[in-house]
Amino acid sequence: MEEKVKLLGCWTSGYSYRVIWALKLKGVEYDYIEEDLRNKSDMLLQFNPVHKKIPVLVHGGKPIAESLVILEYIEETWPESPLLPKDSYERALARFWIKFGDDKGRTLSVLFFQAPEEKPDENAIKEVVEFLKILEEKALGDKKYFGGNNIGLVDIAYGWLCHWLRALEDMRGVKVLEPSTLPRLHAWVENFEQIPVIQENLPDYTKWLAHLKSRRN
Amino acid sequence: MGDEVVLLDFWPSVFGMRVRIALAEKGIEYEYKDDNLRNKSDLLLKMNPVHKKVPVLIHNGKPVCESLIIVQYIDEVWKDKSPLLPSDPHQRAHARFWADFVDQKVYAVGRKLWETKREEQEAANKDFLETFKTLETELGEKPYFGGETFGFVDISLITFYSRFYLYERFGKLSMEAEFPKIVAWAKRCLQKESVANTLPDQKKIYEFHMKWFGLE
Repeated sequence: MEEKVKLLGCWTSGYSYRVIWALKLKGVEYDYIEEDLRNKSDMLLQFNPVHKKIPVLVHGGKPIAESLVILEYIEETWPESPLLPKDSYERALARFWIKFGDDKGRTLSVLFFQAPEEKPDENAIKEVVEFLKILEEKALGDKKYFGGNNIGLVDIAYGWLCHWLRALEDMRGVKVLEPSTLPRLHAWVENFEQIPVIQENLPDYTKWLAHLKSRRN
Repeated sequence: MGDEVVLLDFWPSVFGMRVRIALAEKGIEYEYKDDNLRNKSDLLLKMNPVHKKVPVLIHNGKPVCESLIIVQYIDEVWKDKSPLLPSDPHQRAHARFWADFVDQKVYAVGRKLWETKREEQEAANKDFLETFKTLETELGEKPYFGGETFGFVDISLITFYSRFYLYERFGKLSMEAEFPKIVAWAKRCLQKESVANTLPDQKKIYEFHMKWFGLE
């Protein structure tokens, strides 16, 4: 009998959605528990004492934390509908691009969490565009998805380029991902968002934007 | 077998050392190329254009970058000897989690000890102590982080042992007094040839950092 799967997540977290997408793409049944990050549950603190963060996947009572660690676990435990290439070199490349985004993501958030009255930091904008250019040229190239003809973990890891980046652009009045300058990456966003599992599992945009704005005040 | 393996590295790099240990564990023959990071070679710039950093493993002409990604690659390709990651998915996740913790915290809290201004020294020390306390708690009574055998998490952390003297001097602390289990674990790891032959002497690393960062 299949062991129970639980996901502790939060509707405002892009990291949470990565896990939801992976589970749904593989047809894994799970119970979802919405965490209030201002009032963390005992369960969360027990399952992730080191970082006290979501997402946390609990499988057969055993917790796994950190979204990328969870994604690799999901891939190994439910190998149907593979999200990583079989070839070791291609896997190493996929992991490289996933790490690239996560490492940069931390510095990119500087741009978007400036005070509302501050003019957008020009250097930060330049850095974001540079990052997106590298992604388009070197990671995506002429492929439909980062994973090739089908989406994979790299696409899932960059899912934040959809809703999340768009909301930040709207909030700051700054456009970084434009079809004129980044045509292939822009097309990727549109293709990615049209995948049924993704489309059906995105936070409501208006609600999300309002939440982001309230967080900054 | 006809495998061509080249490692672009810089001798004091804690990240490069991880790869050297993994290659030694697997008994892989390779060509070592030392790249001075203040005068990067054309080969490095070509093989890692995105980050321009070491280590880079070049396997039959194809580059693999990022130390823990390289170690996983080595484990997958040379899978018939000395597994570095456990086979059980849950234990693998546990190993990846802790290696990620080491990556997120240890390098940064260590560097802060000598980079930080006098007023922030106390906070830097606190972060450093907390980080290693967490690691010591996770290690517990186990011989290695992975349990009975040396593995992925041990490789990710042991290379920082080469900086312990540096930490002691700048943090004004004793690693052995604060973290006896970690120090005992490190000495246990040093019993392994792969580790002993890779880790540079702590004093040598200290002197290197003093010169490199102009701390003298």
